[in-house]
Amino acid sequence: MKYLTRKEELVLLAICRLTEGAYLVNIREYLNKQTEKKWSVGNVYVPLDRMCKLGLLESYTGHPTTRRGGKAIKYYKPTKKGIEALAEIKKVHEAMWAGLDHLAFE
Amino acid sequence: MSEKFHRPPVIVRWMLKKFLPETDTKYLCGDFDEIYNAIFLEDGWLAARLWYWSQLIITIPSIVIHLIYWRIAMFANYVKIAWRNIKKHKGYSFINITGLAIGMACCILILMWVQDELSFDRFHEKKEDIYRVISDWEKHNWKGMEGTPGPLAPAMEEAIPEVLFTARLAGHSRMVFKYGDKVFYEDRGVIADPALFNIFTFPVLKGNVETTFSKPTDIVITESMADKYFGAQDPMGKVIDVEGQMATVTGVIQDPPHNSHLQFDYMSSFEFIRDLSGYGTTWGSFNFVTYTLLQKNVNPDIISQKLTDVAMKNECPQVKDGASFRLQRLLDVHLDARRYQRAGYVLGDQTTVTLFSVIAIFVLLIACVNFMNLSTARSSIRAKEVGLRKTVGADRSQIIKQFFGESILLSTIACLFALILVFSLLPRFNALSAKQLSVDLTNGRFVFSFLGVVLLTGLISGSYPALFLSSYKPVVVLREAVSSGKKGSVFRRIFVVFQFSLSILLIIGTFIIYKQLHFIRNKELGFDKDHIVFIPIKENMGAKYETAKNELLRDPNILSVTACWNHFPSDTWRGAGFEWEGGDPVNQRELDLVYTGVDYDFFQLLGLEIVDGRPFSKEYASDENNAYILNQAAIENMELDDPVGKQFNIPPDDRGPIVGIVKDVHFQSLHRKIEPRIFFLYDMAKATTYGILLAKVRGGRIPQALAGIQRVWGEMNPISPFEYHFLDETYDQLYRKEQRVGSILNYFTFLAVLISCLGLFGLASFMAERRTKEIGIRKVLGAPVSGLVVLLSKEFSRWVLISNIIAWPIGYFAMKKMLQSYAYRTPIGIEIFILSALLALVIALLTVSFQAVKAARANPVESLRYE
Repeated sequence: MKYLTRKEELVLLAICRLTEGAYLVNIREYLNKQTEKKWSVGNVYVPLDRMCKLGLLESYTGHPTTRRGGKAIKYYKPTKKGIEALAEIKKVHEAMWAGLDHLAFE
Repeated sequence: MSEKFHRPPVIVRWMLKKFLPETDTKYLCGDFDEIYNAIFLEDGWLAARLWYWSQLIITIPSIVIHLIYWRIAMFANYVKIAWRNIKKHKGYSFINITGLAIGMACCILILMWVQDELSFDRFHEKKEDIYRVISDWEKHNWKGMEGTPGPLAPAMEEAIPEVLFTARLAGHSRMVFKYGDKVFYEDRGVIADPALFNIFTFPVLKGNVETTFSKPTDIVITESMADKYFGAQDPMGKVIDVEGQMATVTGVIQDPPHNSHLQFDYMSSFEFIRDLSGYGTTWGSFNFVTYTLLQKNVNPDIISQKLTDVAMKNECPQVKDGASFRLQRLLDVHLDARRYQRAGYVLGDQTTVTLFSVIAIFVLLIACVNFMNLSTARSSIRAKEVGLRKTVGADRSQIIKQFFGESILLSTIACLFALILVFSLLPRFNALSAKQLSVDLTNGRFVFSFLGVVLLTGLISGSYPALFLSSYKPVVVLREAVSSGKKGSVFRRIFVVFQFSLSILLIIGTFIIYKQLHFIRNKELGFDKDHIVFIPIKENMGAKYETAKNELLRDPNILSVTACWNHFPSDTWRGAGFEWEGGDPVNQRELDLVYTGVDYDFFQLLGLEIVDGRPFSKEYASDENNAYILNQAAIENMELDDPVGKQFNIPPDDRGPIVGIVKDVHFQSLHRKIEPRIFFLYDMAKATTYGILLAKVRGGRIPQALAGIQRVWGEMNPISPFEYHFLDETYDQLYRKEQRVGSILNYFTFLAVLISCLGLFGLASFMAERRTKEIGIRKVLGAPVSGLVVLLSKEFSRWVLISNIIAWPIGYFAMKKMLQSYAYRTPIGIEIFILSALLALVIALLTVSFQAVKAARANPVESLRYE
């Protein structure tokens, strides 16, 4: 099977961190803050959409607010499969990094 | 935090919405709005706007890729299905592709022809402001004569400030050019004012335009002529012997392109014709073509009026008589060319261009109709597919797209065959149409129009199946077997009728054009043109004419010899301002006559009937000086009773009696009415440039007679090459253009009928296939084969008959209009229509009955076994 891409991994991690009420805007804000890079809407949406289709994420609709011009919110949360995928990618990372930690700290 | 909502720009949101994935649009819009508001609060209005816009822009690439990806995916599927269909039904695909390929090839060839016709004279830089002066002769109802009087050009340049340049042109007759050992006849020469180079774009390769014609004997030649005579040598300053005159080459120009209406190989100075007695340079003789360059944005109509005024002021007799001048746009010259032909001028014709364009469209339409018919006829086969596609979620527009895709695919395949056809037919087509067309795949315009034809064909032929098949309701289609439908068969009938109407129309057109050509070629011209040889009077032949005549007459194979001062089948010289005894002054002013200078025996040799008086004769010594013979048309115009013996005067002062009246005969093309003519004796010693010597030879002894003439010629003219023509062939050549159009039309009609029949064949085989069971049962019950064939062919014959009824009136009016360009035309008889109808019916029946017989003769056991 294919591993998560880096982007997907970051987005998924952001959702996990935000626990309840993760949606495009706050996911993007969080990513901007953590990565110190500007994430475009598309950069966030595409992995979200793809992971929904792959069944790594599930979505539910929230109530609209004034700030959004009266539009509903689509919230995301990880599925079991999503968590598994994260665990897998972490395992791969660790396996690959094993014994090479000094590279990252120099 | 303020809870006030700031609305992003509406247009951008609207556009953004279009691009966003459909399922999540509303959430995403909300997300965007939220971020917009956040930025608005933090960094202000402008930053928010900019951000919003930038979002729109960065989305575009991903959107486009997304769209293309899915389009391609679906397209690949359509192509696959279409390809499978083509392979599965090889017969139908063959009919479709062949039909479309032939149709497209015809269409492309014709469009190339039309394009070439339309490209005439467009290469001149100042083309928009160049005009030709033409004249309308109210009295004769002549429009657009290109002749103008010589003094008009300088006069208009002087009197009308808007006129920048003027140039006069006249044709040279055939001349012998001699340089070293190279001797050729040169036909295509013009006499021109040097201002021609200021008006037209004929690039000068060598020499200075300003000084080219400083001497009367200076000539300018084209590149190819320079090559012919001088090869690699520098042509400048070389001296060519032109019929005894020494002409110096002072310039070399590029060959005029083939799509120039002015075609010439050399050009000589206007001073040159001062010495030529044949040329009138007064306001009364319309011997020159005048071109002019006007200032930009000048209304040519106003100048036209001024031109007529100038001529009036200068007492031009024809203008006083009601003739008027008019400016014709250079760009219209080729296609507007009326039937006034002069040597060296390529003539086009608007009607032919229209005719051919219509035919191109007809042929293509017929091929498209084939496609439509066959696909709807087989709709029941495709119905299940449509039903299934709709069930799994295709909407109607997708099905429509699919069928269009299929037809475009088919037309693309057809276009490859069409290209091959075009390539292989082009040389033949060029020979037929006397053009030099070539396929240039690097020419954007050609490629573009070619793709246009392909796309158009695909769209037209796909339109009906796409709309018809996509309308199926899946429930109906999948639950029960679909018949090809009442609606479908009505349309099919209409299509076949339409197709055959077009074919019959073309057949009628071809028949009538042929009938008219036949009529022209066989119409009694009123004189005897058979077994008459003519040779141009050259060199010292004029001076030795009498000797030559006597010498020739000694040959037993030569019956009679005479001469005429010009090539009368194509050239006319005319004049006006005559006076005659008992003439009414109004009549006298209005009459203009074609001059014909002849030798003794002219009337006898051509078998011209003298209705009153006598021909010229040596017995009357006074004939030599001034004696006139007029034709009946002239007498009618003069309203003269008992004309023989009356005095007649050609201006300024050539008085003589009218000695005879000759019957009206068609000396010229039948496009023109017989014109009033005056004959007089002419001293052939002066006719060195234009005259012809005519000899009547004994039929059956023509080669011997020609040998005799050549011997005499050789004795008198050691230099000029011997050339001869037959008078009857010359008359045939007057209609060469019509013959060309006729044969092109012939081919395309054949192809149109062929394509129609292909379609009919496909349809008939389909119908027979569908009715196999019915035929089987009928046979079991005892129906004879003949009865079944009739049953199967009956319907088709009915369609063809209906097509006839539609095509007849249209054909009648179209042909009537076409024939109007002839002064003498064949009657449009009913027999042509009946013949066309029969032909169409026979062809259709042959096509259909092949299938019908096959179906009727099949063993019923085969068709009924599996029930």
